[in-house]
Amino acid sequence: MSLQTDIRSSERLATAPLKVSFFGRPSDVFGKTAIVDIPSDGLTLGALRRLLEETRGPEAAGALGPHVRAIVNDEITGADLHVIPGQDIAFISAVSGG
Amino acid sequence: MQCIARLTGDRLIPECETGPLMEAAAGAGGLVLFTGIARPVGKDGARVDRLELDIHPRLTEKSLNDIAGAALCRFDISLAVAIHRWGEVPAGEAVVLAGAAALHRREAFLAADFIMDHLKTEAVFWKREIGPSGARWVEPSERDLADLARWKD
Repeated sequence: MSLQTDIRSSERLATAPLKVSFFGRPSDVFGKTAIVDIPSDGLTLGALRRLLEETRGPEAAGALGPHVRAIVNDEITGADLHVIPGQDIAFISAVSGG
Repeated sequence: MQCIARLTGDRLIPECETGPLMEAAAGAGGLVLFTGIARPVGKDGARVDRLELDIHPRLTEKSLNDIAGAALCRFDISLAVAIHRWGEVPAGEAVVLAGAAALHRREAFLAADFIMDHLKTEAVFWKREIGPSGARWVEPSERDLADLARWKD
C-alpha cells in the first residue's frame, strides 16, 4: 500500500498540466483550449504536437503539422523550442488578416 | 504624432468614430478614413451571412499598433488609425476603419492605403465566412499579397 502510494506520488510529480490555446484551423479539431499532461521538465514543441494529436485521436492526425505555427509566451516561432509547464502556448494557422 | 489602434467587440459605427478622429487630427490639412465592410458574398460568389473574427488576447492588438506605427514612421502624417472589430460581424456592417491625417492629402491617402494593405495580410486575425453552406476560413488572397508587395522596398 505504501509502495503504491509512493508510485502514484512519483507519477504525479513526473507530469504537470499545460494549457494550450488554438487559433484558426486547429481550433476546428482541438477547440479553443486544451489541457494536456506533459513531463514536468517540459518537452519540445514537436513532441507536444504529437502528444496533442495522439490524445485527440485519429481525426487529429496531421492537424498540427508544419503549416501550423506556435506562439510561446506571445512570440510566434517556427523553431522546435523546449517548453515547460506554466508557459503560454498556442498553435495557430496562417493569419487571415483583417 | 498619434496612433489610434484598438480592437472593439461592439458594433463599429464609422460616423461615431469620425468626431473623435477629427479632434485627434487637429492641425492637419486632411483626414482620410477608409471603412471596410463585411461583404455579403464570398470569393466564389456564395452568400455570406456574417464573419467571425477570432483574436489573440495580446498579439492582435499589438499587430494593429505595429501597423499603425509603421505608417507613422514611413509617411509624413500626424495621425494613424487602425480600429478593428472582432467577434461576429453581420454582412453589411463595418469591420475596420483605417486612416491617416496629414498636412497634405497625398501622404494621408498613401498612409491609409499602406495601413489597409498591411491589415489585410498581417493583422493577427483568424476569419471565417459563415453562410448557408457552412463556415469557411479566409486567408489573404493573391490580390491582397500583391497589394502588400507594393510597399516592399
